[in-house]
Amino acid sequence: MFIQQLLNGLTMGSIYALLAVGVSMIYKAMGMMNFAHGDTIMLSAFFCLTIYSAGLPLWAAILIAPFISAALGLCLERFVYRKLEYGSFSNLLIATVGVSFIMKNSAVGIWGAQKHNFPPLFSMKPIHIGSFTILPQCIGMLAIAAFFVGVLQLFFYKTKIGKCMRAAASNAEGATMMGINVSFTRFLTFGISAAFAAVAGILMSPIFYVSTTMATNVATKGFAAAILGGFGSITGGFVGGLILGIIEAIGGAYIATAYKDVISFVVLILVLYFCPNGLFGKKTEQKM
Amino acid sequence: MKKKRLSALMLAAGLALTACSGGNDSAPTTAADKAPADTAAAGSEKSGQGEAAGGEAAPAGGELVLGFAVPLTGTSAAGGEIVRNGLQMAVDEINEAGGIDGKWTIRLITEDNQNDPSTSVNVMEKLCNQDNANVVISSTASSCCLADMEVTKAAKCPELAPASTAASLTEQGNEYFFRTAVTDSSNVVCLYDYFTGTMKGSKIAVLYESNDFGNGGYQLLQDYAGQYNVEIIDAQAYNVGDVDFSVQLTQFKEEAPDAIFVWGHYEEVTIMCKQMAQYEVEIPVMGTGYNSPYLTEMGGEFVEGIMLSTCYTTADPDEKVQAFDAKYTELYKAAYDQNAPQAYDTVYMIADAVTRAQSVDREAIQKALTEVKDFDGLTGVMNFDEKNNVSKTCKMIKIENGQQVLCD
Repeated sequence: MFIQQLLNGLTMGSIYALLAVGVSMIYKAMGMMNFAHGDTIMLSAFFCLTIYSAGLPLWAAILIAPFISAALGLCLERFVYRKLEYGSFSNLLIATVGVSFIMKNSAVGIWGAQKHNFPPLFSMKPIHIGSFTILPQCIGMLAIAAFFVGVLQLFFYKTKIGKCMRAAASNAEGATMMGINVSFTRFLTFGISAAFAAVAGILMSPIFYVSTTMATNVATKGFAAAILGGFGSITGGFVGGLILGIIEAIGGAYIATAYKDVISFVVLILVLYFCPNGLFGKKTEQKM
Repeated sequence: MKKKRLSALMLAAGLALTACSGGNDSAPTTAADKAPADTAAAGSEKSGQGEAAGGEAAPAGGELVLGFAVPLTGTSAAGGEIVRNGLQMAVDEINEAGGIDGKWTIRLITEDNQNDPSTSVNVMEKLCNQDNANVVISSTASSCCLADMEVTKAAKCPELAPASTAASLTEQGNEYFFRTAVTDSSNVVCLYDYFTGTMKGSKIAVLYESNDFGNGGYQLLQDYAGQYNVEIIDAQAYNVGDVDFSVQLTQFKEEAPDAIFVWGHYEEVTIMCKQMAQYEVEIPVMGTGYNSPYLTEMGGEFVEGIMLSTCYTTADPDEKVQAFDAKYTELYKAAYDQNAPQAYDTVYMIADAVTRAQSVDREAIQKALTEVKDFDGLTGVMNFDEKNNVSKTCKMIKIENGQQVLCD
C-alpha cells in the first residue's frame, strides 16, 4: 500500500516539478518571481487545443504551441517587464500579478469559462509491476520533465549564452561591463521559460482538462515545490516537486485526503525552519 | 540570518493560506448554484417580460399578488434566470387558463436581490409591506433566505424556496417558510432504496467534496445507513479542483465495496471516472450533485454506467416532463437545471393551496400549504414534513450510450 501511494504521488509530483522548474528558471536568470507562469501554462494549453481543434494533427499542435507561447513570453518581456526596470523586485512582482489577471480574463473572454477535453497523450492501459499499478502517463511525464531539466541544466552551465544569463542575473552591471547584452539574455530567458510552460501545459491538459482555472491551484504548489527545493535551483525544483507530490499522496492516504494540501504545506514550513534555503538552495546573502 | 528565516517562513505560510482558500472557493455553492454559465446569456433575452405578462391581469374574482425575489445581476444571475424562466412559464400558463380556479389571476412582482443577504431583506420588506404580496417565492443562496425569512415571518406571509438547499433553513421553527427545493435526504433515500433493493448491496465507500454540500451528504448517508443495513466501510473527502484521485481509488480497490457513493460535481466526477478506468477499479458509482449536460460531454466513455439520483430528468417519459422540456427549450433556447422545474412546481403548488383554501389570504394559504398531500409535479410526488421541508420521490438514472436513462 505504501509503495502504491508513493507511485501515485509521482504523477502530481512530476507536474509540480515542471512548474517549479519554470519559476525557478526565471528566478535564476533574472532574480524575479513570475506569478504569471501558471497563466502562461493555461494559455499554452489553449493554444495547443485551438490548433488541434482547427484540424491539424495532435503532434503538429504540440510542436507549434511552445513557439506561440515563446513568442508571447518574448512580447511580455519586451513590452511589459523591460519597461518596469529590473531593479525593483516589488514592482516586477506586482506586474506579474497584473499580467496574470489580464491573461486569465482574456482567456475567459476568448474561450469561455467552460472546461474542454484534451486527447490523451499516453496509453490509458496501466502497467503492473508485481501487485503495484503505475500509469504510462506518470512514467511519460516523469521522463519528459527529467529530460527538460537535464537540458536546462546543460544549457545554464555548459553553453556560453547560458553562462551569460547566469552572469546577468547575479550582477547585471558587472555583466554589462563584461560585454554581455543583459537585456537580450533576459529577453531570451522569458522566451525559453514560456516554451517550457507550454510543455507543462500540454502534459497537464489530458489530466486537468483545459480551462482558465486549470493551473490556479497547482501554480501555488509549483512555488511551494520551488521553495522546498531551494529557489533558483533547477534540479532542486525538480526534486522538490516530486517530494511534494509524494508527501501529498502518503499524507492523504495515512491521515486524510481532505487535508493533503495542509500536510504538504506543514512539511514545507518545517523544512524551511531547519534549512531556510530549501533542500538544494545555496546560501546567498540578500542585500536589501 | 534570523530575518531571512522569518521571511521564508512567512512566505511559506502565505502560500499555504492561498492554497487552502483556493480549494474552498466554491465551498458555499450548492448543486443548485452550479448552473451552466452559458444559459444566462440565452436566457436573458427573455428578461423584462416578467412584469408585463403578469401585470395585465383583468381580475374577475380577484388577484393573487406573487412576490418573487431572485438574483438577476451579479455572480448568481445565471442561476436566477433559470428559476425565473421556470416560474414565469407556470404563471403564464395559469393566467392564460383563466387564473387559479378561474377566480384569481396571478400578478407577479419580480425584484432583484443580487444574491446579497442585506439586499434580499430590503426587497422582501418591499414585497411584503408595500406590494402586499399574498405569497412570496425566494430564489437565492440559502444565506439570503435565512435573512429574508425574518421579514416574511413578521408579516405572516408564506415564503417558498425552490432553490435553497441548506438544512438550517427549516431548522428555524419558522412556520411561514416552506422549502420546495429537493433536499439531499430525498436523494439518500432514493439511492439507498435502489442500492439495497435492486442492487442487493450492503457495503459502500463514500467519496465526497469537502465542503457543506459534500459533508452534509456524507452525514445523511451515515444517518440513514442504519435503517437500510448499509455499512460504510470507508469515506474519503477531496477538495474542489482536485485532479488526482489515485490515493482514494487505489484504497477503494483494495477494500472492494459494493458501490462507491459520490457526493460531488461533474468537474471532479468525470476525472474520477477516467482514473477508475486507468486504475482498473470496477465498482459501480452512484451519488448526486453531478447531474449536468457536461457529465457526458466531458466524461465520454468513462462515465458509461455511472448512476445518479435526481428529482428531475428529461429521460423521464412522463407527459408533463416532456411537455415542460419542449416548451422551455422552445421559449428560452437554453439549457436549464432542476431549479427551473422546481420553480414551476412551486407556482402550481401555490395554485393548489389557493384552490383548496378558496382564499388568497396569507394565513389561509399558509394553512393550505401545510396540508399539501402527494402533490404530483414535474419533480416528483411532494409532501411537507413537520418542518415544512419538502420530500420528493427522486429517480435513479444512469448513463447509457452517452444518454441519461431511467434505472429499472
